[in-house]
Amino acid sequence: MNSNELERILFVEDEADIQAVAQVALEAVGGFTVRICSSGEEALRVAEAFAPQLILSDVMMPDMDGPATLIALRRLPALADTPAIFMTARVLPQEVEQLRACGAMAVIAKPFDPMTLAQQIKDIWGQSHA
Amino acid sequence: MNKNTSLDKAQRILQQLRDNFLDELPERCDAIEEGILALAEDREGEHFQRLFREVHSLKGSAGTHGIVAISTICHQLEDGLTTAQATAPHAPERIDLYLRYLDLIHRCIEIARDKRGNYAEIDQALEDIRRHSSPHQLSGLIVENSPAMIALYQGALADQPVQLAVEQDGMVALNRLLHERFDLLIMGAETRTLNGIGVLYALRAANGINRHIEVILVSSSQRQNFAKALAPDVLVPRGPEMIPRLATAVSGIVRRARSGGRRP
Repeated sequence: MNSNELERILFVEDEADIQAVAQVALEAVGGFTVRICSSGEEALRVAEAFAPQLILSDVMMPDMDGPATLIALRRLPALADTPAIFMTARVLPQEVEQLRACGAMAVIAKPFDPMTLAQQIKDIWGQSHA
Repeated sequence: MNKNTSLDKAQRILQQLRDNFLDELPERCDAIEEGILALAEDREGEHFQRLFREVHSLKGSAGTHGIVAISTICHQLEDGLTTAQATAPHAPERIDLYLRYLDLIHRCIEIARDKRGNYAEIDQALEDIRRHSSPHQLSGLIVENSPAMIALYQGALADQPVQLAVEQDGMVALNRLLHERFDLLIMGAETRTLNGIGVLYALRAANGINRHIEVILVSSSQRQNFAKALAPDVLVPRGPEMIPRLATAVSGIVRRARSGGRRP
């Protein structure tokens, strides 16, 4: 495997329905290895051991939202530079800019198309690792 | 496993997940119904918060499974809940209104199971609900990127009998315009993803329910060249005269609608 090739994704999402569809989209369609976390707290517990190449996170979650989760994950030395993408139904320009300011390299709109989500992520990854 | 086989398998799993979602939907509807009925006694706003989360969650799940009609119903229910929570108590007639939305979600389950995929009756029912709940009001959509401009429009039209929804993204707005009936559209020229001209052209070109609604385009340009069939009904230039001209344009639309003239 090329060291630049994306394989492991840490996916943080509290909605079970969306978790299930995204798992199919990322694993069966995209061929990625995915660790799903239902909350920011769970992501913090498992992230270092999983060593993701990419963090993919929902924005609106109870307790710890997406930006808070990303900030906390970035305090872990192993994840200090791990690229992140947010997924949100709120794609207003100023909100997207705020999410980018939190350190996300891209924002993907919800609802996503499960048959094209993986390619969308590969494209974003390819652009940032060209 | 080759790629096509893998994609076929993924699609089968996605279909199964969608079926499971539909199987579990009546239970989620029951929870929403309980939440709606509890609003009458909701002094602390606790039931409201829980209900709103349920509706919001269902909106996201339905969209993820590609059942746009349910997302649209939830969107309108959210709008209704939020408006009432901010301005008035959830009176019995409002509770009835929310329950009508819930009935529509049940109907969507039947349509989805039928695999007919024809949700036109849902669009019509949503329109009927809106007209019944606000018989003297028109329904308008503001599509504008700038929060400051949105506040200006809303302030200028506060006295008009028009219920205004707001979208800041052109594609999101176009999706609503294809599925929800509006009486008028107020478009800013520069919106994200798809600009105002693009939304306007797509709206006029699509054979949708809002194809003939009156459109007010607010633009920094004094003159624009439009194909005749695709032109906005009113072009309001940004500037000191913008607000009075916008108010006048909307008054005209309201007057025409009430006199039985062009019904947007």
